[in-house]
Amino acid sequence: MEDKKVLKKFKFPETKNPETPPQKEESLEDLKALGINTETDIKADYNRGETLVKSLEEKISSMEKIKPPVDLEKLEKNITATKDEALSKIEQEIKGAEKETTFDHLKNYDFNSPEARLVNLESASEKIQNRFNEKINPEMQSAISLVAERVFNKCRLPYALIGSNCYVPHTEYSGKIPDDLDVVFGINDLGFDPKDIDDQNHRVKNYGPGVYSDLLELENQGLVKGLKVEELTKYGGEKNGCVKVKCLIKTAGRFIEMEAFAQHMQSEIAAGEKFNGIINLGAEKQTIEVIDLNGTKVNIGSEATAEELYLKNIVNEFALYDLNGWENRSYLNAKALQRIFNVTNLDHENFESSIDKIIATIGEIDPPTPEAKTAQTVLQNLWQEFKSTEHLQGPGLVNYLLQKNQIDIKSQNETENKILSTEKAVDLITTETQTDMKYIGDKYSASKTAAEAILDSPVKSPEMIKAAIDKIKTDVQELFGLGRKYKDYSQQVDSASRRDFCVYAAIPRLRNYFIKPVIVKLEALAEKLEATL
Amino acid sequence: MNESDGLISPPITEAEYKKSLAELSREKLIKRLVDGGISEAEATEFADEVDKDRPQAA
Repeated sequence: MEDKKVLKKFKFPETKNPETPPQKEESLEDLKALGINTETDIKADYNRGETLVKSLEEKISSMEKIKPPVDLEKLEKNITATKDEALSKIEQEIKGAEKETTFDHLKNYDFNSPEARLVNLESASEKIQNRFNEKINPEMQSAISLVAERVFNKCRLPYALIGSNCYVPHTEYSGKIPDDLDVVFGINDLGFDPKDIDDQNHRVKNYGPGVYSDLLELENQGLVKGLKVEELTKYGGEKNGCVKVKCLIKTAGRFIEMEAFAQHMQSEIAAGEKFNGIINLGAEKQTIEVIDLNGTKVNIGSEATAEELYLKNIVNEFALYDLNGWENRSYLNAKALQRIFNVTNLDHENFESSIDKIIATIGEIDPPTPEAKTAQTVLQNLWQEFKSTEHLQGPGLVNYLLQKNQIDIKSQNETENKILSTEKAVDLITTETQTDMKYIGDKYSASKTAAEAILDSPVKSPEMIKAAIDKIKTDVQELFGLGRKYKDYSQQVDSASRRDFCVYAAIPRLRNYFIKPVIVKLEALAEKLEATL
Repeated sequence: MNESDGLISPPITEAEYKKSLAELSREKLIKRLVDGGISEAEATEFADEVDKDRPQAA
């Protein structure tokens, strides 16, 4: 505004109109005076103009020093980001509200808890839902329905069924019939402090609302029996804060065993506690699938949960091995064989080529103890040995075991036949080796006790000594009989068929660590007995 | 999911086995097995297998 005023003042002298006649002739003095005045005006105007230009120059200079105007592109980006964030929050709110409606079976579930945020809760696909309906038998369904509705759907924190009830719906072919029920849930939903467990009767007197009190209510109604709780221990004996709740659930035909594990979740981990479960639901990202069981909604672990569970179980169970001085030998626990088979049989696995990948994955899991590390290495060595052993060129142990036990697998196609027959063969060898291991242990223990009693006795009759030696001879003959059976099995193994691995892996342990050393030890005892005759 | 399923330990420790091997020579082992009704061929094959577990002479 000020500039405009200055410009208005700055006027050039008006030009005279040449057509206007002069009113009066001006004198030289007049013209001189006019010239002086005009000069003065021009000078004054010039000075004003100069001042104005200087002023404008200063203004321009000062404007140049001012920071450039806001970066419009950046501003637009910020606005878009803020808008997206706001939309995302709104979407989350809507999804949260939708989830609360879709998963309204979880009456007390805290959707905003740190634990719930780590869990992706989704409705099970039609495939998984149908398999659950078809493959989980009605008695098990009834037990699951009861504990879900009356106990676990009331939890504030995530819970899920794991174990075979989670595994079976995630396999296309499996003849497995789940016979027990496994659950993981948050320790804060248990309803008591683990310190309050009575170690004598495995019960709790001081408890509040939660899983324990709900199960007690079912027990009072005769729907549950044998309710017991215990705090699990780490390998080494120290308590780890995970509480196992064990009971039997009544169904129309029988009682079904349930083991539910109350574990640390995110709140406990944030407070400095350690992971204390194989599957750390609510402490690590997991997906839970919700199935509908005749109107009762139930949470089950996803396929990834099933895979993680079996892989970690294999390695963790290695820590339970009593290596008993037999380090660096090739033997494998029977249950581990079943778990390896279970992993190879999950939906996304290519059944016959997945063992390589699984053995490699197992090698990447941190073993809980040095013994577990040894066993982990043993498994890897056993697999390498199996793959590279030229003499394992029999017709196939899986088929041999089925024929021997007169089992005919009914299947729709070759893949189903391979899977079901391998699954059955693993069950057969697992049962057979476990029975034989126990039998050998019991037989050895009885003969050893009898022989040592005679050796330690000051009074020994020749009859007693001969009877003990004869007993050892009979035992040794039986052990040789078992040895022949497993040698025969070994000769059937075909290392070109990957599905023979799980059944093969059970055999070296039995022959090398049970049959062979027990025969030698018994014969050494017989030699000592004979020396006393 | 019983953690102790299938976990049956060998009844004899490696140390006990080694001690028995030291007490029972190859010849004595074969003789005892044959006396107990095991065929000589089978007893010899077993002794061969056991020999692999004996400390190797320097």
